[in-house]
Amino acid sequence: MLLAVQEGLLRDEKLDVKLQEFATGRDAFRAVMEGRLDVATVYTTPVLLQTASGPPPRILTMMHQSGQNTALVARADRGIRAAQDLRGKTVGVPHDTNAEFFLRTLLEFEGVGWEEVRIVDVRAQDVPDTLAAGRIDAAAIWEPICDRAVRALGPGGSVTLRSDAYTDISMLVTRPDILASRRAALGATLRALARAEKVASADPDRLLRAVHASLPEIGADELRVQLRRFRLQLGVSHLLVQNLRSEAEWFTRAGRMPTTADLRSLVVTDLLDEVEPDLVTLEANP
Amino acid sequence: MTASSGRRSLGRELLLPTTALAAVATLALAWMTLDWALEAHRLAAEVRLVRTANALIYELGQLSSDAQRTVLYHQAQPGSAARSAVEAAEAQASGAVERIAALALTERGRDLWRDLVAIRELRLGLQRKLLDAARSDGPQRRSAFAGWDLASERETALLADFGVYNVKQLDRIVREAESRRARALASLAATLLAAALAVSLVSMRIRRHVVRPLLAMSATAERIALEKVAVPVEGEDRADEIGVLARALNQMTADLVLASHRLAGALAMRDEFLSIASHELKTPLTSIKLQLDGVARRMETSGESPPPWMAAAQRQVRRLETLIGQLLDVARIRAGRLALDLEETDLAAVAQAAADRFAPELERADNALRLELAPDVVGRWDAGRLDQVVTNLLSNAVKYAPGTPVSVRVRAGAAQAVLEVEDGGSGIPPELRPRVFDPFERGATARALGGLGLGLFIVRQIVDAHGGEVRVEDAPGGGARFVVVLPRAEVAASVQEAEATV
Repeated sequence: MLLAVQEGLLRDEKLDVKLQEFATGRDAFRAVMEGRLDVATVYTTPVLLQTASGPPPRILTMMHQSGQNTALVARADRGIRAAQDLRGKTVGVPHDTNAEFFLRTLLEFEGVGWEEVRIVDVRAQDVPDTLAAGRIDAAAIWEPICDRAVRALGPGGSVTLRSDAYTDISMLVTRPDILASRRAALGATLRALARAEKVASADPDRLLRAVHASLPEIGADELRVQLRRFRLQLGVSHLLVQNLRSEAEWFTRAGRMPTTADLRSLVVTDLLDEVEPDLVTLEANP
Repeated sequence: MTASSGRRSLGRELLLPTTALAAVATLALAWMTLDWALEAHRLAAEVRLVRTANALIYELGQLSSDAQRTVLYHQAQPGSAARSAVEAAEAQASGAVERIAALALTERGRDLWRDLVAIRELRLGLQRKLLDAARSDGPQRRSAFAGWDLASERETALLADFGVYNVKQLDRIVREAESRRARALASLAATLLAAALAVSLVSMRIRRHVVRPLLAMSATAERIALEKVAVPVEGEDRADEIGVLARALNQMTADLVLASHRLAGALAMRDEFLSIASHELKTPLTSIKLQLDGVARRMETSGESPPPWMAAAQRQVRRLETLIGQLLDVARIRAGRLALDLEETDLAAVAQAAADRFAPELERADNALRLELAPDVVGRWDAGRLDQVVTNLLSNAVKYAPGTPVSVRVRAGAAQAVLEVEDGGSGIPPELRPRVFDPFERGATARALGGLGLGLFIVRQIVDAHGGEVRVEDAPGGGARFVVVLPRAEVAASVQEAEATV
C-alpha cells in the first residue's frame, strides 16, 4: 500500500487515498468497522475475533504472507532458551492480534500449555520498553517492533524464537456496505495494489525506499533484511481460508469464537478476479 | 527519347496495381494463417502443460492423502508396516513432485509450487517427528500431531489452489483462443474489406482510364456512322494504347470521310452525265425511230416487204428508247423531279394493257402469261407510271425466267390494291433481296442479258411515290414473286399533296 501511494499508482486510478497509520492492524480494523475508515490492512486474528462479536467484515485480498515476521523475544537473563522454558514465565502480547495467535501456536507445538504461562496484555508500541524494564520475561510481537525489542535488550540480552508452523497473513478488509457502495473504487484499489506488487517484484529497491520513507528510524540494511521475511502476495485462496479456519479452531477451543462462523463467506472473490484472475484460486462465492 | 520508349503501357499500368494488390492480399492472408497457426501451436502446448500439471497435482494429492491416512492409522496402530506404507506413499509422491518441478510453469504457477513444496517439506519433517513420537504419550505427541495436522491442512489447501489455478489457466487459454479467433476474423474481414476497396479503386481507375474512353469512342463512331461527319474521338494525346486507338480511329475517319466525299462527287458526276447523255441521246434516237417508222409505213403502203433488218432495227431502237427512258427516270428521281399525274385509275386495266403490249416479248421468251385481274380495282394513281411498274416487272420476268409461266394478279382490299407478278424461274437468293431494288443491281447470272439494272429501282421509286411498298418473296413454285401494295385514293392523294408541297 505504501508503494502504491508513493509510486502514484492509486492516483493513476483516479483515487484520492488518505493513509492513516495505526499501531496495530487491530486498531485499524476497528476504525473500519466503526465507520471511520473504508479499508484497512490487518492480520487475520482481529478479523476472526470480530466475527465472534459483531457484523462480519469482507476480505478483499491477501496482502502478504510470512512465516518469519512474528517472533517471541525473551530476556536471556531469565533463562529462556526454548519455548519449554516459558513455563511459569510472564509473556506479554497485544491481545486480539496475530501475535497472540502466534504465541498460542508456538506454545502448543512445543507442548507448553496456555495455562502454564502467565499472559499479559501489552500495547504493541510498549513491548520494547516493557521488556527492557523487566516487567515481562518475554513478548510475542511482530516486526519491526520485534527488532526494536531486541535492540532494547542489548547485545546478547535477548533470545528470539520463531515457529515453522506459523504463518501470518495480512489482508485488505472492508465493510459490506462499503463493498456495495464503493465497488468501483475498491476494484481500482486492487488494480493499483496489483501494479505495486509487480513493481516490488521487478525492483525490490523501490519497495525498500517506499517503506523506508514511512519507517525512517530503521536503517536501510536492517529494513532490507526484514522485508526479505515478507512475501508480498495478493490473492484469495484456499490457503487463506484454511489459515482462517485453523486459527478459528484455536480461538474456538479457547472459547473466544463460536463454532458456527462461516469464514468462507468473508472472502470476496469476484472483485480481485476482475482485476487479476490468476490471483484468485478460490471458487467464486456461491 | 523515341516514340516507342515514350509510350506508356496501359496494360502495365493496370497490371502493376492489380498484381501488387493480389500480392499484398496473399501476403496478408499468409501472415494471418501463419500467425494463427503459431498461436494455435502455442495454445495447444500450454493446454498440454496445464493438463499434465493438473494430472500430476491430482496424483500428488491422492498420494499425500494416502500417506496422511496411513499416518493416522499409524497413530492408532503404531508399527513398522504402517510406517513403511507411509514411506512408500511418500516416495511415490516424491516422484510426482519431481515431475511437476520439471514442468515449465508460469510465474504464478512457480510461486504456488514453491509454497506447496515448502509446506510439504514442513509437513514431512513434522510427520517424521510424529511417527517417531507415536509410541510416546503426552504433550510431545500432541504438539507433534497439532503441527503435522496444521501443515497437512495447508498442503491440502495449496493443492486445491494449484488445481484451481490450473483450471483458470485452461479458462484463460480458451479465452485467448476465442479472442484470437475473433481477432483473426476481424483481421480477415478487414483484409477482405481492404481488398474489396482496393479492387473498387482499381476498377474505378480502369473505368476512368479505359472503359469511359472506349465508350466515348464508341459513341463518336456511332455518330460518325449516323451523321457521316468527321468527328474526332478523344484521347489522341494519350501515350498509351487508348491513344494509339484514338489516333488510328481519327485517321480512319478522316480517310473514310474523304472517300465518302469523293464517292458522292463521283456519283453526282455520274448522275449528271447520265442525265445529259440520256437527254442528248433521246433526240437523235427519236429521229431515228421516226425515220424507221416512216420507212416502214411507206413500204407497207407500197406493198413492199420490209427487209429483215427493219424489224431488228426497230427492236433495238425500242430497246434503246427503254434504256434511255430508264436513265431519264433515274435522273428525275435523283433530282427529285419524279412527278405523279394522279387520276382515277383502274389497276386491272393498267395491268391488262401492259400485258397486252408486252405479249410479243413474252411470246418470244416462251413465257406463258396468266392474268388474274379482279374487276374495279380503282384508285387515284398515275396510270402511266403504274404501267411502267407492270412493264418493268414483266420485263424482269422475261429476262430472268424465260420459258416459265408468268402470272399477273390484281386484287383489291378496303384501303389497298395489290399487284403481283410471279415467275417460275429460280427465284432470288435471300442474301440478294435487300439489294434487288438498288440502282444498277443485276443478278450475276443475268449480266450477259444486258440492261442497266434500273428497272426494279424505278419500280420502287414509283411505288414509294404513291405511298405504297414493294417486296420480293419466294413464289410457291420456286420462282420470284414481286408484290406491290398501293394505297387507294385517299392515301395517294395525300402523297400527291406532299409532293406538291416539296
